[in-house]
Amino acid sequence: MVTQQRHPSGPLSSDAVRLGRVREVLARGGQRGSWQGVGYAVYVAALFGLAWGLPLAQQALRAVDPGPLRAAAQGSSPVAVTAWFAGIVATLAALAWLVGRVRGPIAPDLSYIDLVVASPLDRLLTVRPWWRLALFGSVVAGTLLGLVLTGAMAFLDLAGVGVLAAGALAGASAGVAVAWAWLLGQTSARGAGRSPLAVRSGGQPVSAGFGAGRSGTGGHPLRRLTVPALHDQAITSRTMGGAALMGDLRGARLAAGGRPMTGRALRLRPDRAFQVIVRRDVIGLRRNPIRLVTAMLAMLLGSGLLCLRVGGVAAAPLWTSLLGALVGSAGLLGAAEGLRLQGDNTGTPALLGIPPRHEAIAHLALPALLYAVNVTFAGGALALAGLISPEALPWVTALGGIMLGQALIGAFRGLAPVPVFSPRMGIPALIGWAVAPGLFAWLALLICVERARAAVQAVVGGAAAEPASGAAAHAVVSLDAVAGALSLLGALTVGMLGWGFHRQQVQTDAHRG
Amino acid sequence: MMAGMPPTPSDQPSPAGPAAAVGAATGDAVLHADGVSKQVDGAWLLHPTDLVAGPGECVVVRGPNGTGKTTLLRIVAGLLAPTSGTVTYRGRPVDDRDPATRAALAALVGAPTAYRDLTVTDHLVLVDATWGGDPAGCDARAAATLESLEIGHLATRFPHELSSGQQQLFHLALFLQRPAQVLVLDEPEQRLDPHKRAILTELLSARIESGKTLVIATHDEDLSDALADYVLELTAW
Repeated sequence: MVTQQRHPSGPLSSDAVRLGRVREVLARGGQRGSWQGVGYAVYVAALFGLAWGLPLAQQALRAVDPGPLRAAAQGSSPVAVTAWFAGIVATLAALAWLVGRVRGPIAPDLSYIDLVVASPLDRLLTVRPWWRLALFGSVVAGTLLGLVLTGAMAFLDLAGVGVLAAGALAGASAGVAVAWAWLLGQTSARGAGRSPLAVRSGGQPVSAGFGAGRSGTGGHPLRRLTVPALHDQAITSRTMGGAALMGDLRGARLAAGGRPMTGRALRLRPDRAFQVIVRRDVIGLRRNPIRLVTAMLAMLLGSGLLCLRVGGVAAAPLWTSLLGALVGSAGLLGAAEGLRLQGDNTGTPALLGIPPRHEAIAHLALPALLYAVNVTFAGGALALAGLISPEALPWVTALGGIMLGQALIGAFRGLAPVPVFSPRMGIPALIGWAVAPGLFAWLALLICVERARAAVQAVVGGAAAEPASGAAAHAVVSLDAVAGALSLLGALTVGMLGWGFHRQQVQTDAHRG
Repeated sequence: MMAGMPPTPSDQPSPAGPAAAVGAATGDAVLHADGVSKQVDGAWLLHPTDLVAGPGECVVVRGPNGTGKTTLLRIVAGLLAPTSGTVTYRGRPVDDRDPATRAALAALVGAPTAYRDLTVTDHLVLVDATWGGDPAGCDARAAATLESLEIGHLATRFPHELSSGQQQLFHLALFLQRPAQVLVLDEPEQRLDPHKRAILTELLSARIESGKTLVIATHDEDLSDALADYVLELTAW
């Protein structure tokens, strides 16, 4: 039974009071969260960090050889440490800004956007709870991460206990920076700041003088958010979530992927079939400069790290190959957008006069070329600086074959198989299915990197310090090392590419039913 | 010539043998669908049906929703394997995995492939180039196709910037840009205004007059009357 009650705050005096009454109504539905819930989440995160994060961080530090790390930690100047920290924060902030363009921290329900955010109430007030939550969560996450990392360093005697305070402070600062970058990414997303006026749920702009000015483009970034932009992001994030739960990676990717609006003056020039597909990929990347730049930077960084591990004059730690394989692959996958678009379109009637297999091969040409260019630049620069042996370059270039196979498999994944959704398998099976090809490719790259490293060391080491009497024996050892590495690399490359082309064939034929 | 199918309860075994036949005299025909049907988990999507068509002929497939028009077109285009029966073009089984089928048959059944990072005119250039069009005249051919549908002003738009009707015209442009001997279309008139439907009718008539074979499903009686040499009327079961 509904009974009428007099509101204790009396007549409406401000947007804050009005919003308070709205929240009271919403709270009756029992759907709104509370700070108690947030406190519980922090408690669980802290426990998780203590139980799992600290041991894992210690293991990771041990794996990357604590010796040089201790020397670096104790020998580095405060300026150098600050520069490293600033670089890491800047990278994280840039990533958060990119994420914010797709899904920002302000993510209310669609009904709240249409009925409350679209009202004449000050937008700063209506969306601020989400911002406070995101800011708080980011600061807590940063602080915990800082404490876990510095705690692990203290446990391994890499630094004194006092470093914990510095870690917490640095983590919290990074959290603030990342949260703000995330929000600014959302406000810079397409359409986010287009309309200076708030929009009512019926689509009519709010009349000037009541709420309009406070929701304009000036002032706090929260006031620059528009209802259509919030609407778009809410729909996108729900679509992505639903698609991810269904194992529909294609759907999730299409929901997250931006739609190009630039470069329309560029024209696709006619050419022969294979070449025009390559030109298509070039023009596609030019119309998506953020993708192009991030893919190139990732390939540059990844291939540089791989060169250091494979042919470093001074022994590079293991983490260089772990990170290099991950980042290099991500860069190459980013440049393989044309291949993924072909995968997205499988099952539709053929429009192009080129067989699907040939089309896929043509789509591999550009990422392969860009990867080779990046290896040449990164490896060439390191070789010129005397940090690596030039013999590492062909090996790192050849690793691109495994990455291309990974790109093929990723583009033609299709939907998750039905058994993955059985009650006995659960979410872990779905996650396992989603990450399996990437994990397999990563492990294959790591194994090949180590074998290539051994081959380069055998060749270079022998050439540098080889007594005349041992020349023949050393040549045999070098040849064995090179042949072994080549065989393994060739087998894994053929395996990955074969798996990828098999997936392409399966997906192309799947619609025949 | 019209042929209907006898009403039988759905999800029951279909009567043996073809239930419908339409088309050219067998001697002139190049496209044969003999007793094709589709059944999924016991449910009949299409009962056994015959369809025959020759060069310069148009077969219009009509019937209420759910009678299997789109399924028939997908089978005829080689996109879907029939449960029973065969489809041949010039004596060769139709299968879109076969390059010969892809070269001979063009199908507009559902939304075709589109790249979200290419403009409308880029798409036409891509289609033309991959079918071996002379690069020297490719731009002109793309422009001519757009002008024939009166959408030349959309040349630099991205697909996601088109309205629903413009999307349909864009799909038709892609479809008409590629060479083919047999054109298979599923309700090409949908979302088009009367003027654009008239343009479409003219374009398809011209293709038929040039010797192409047309198989089209439509609910538009004007389009059907203007194009049909034969009508295959599918009925509800």
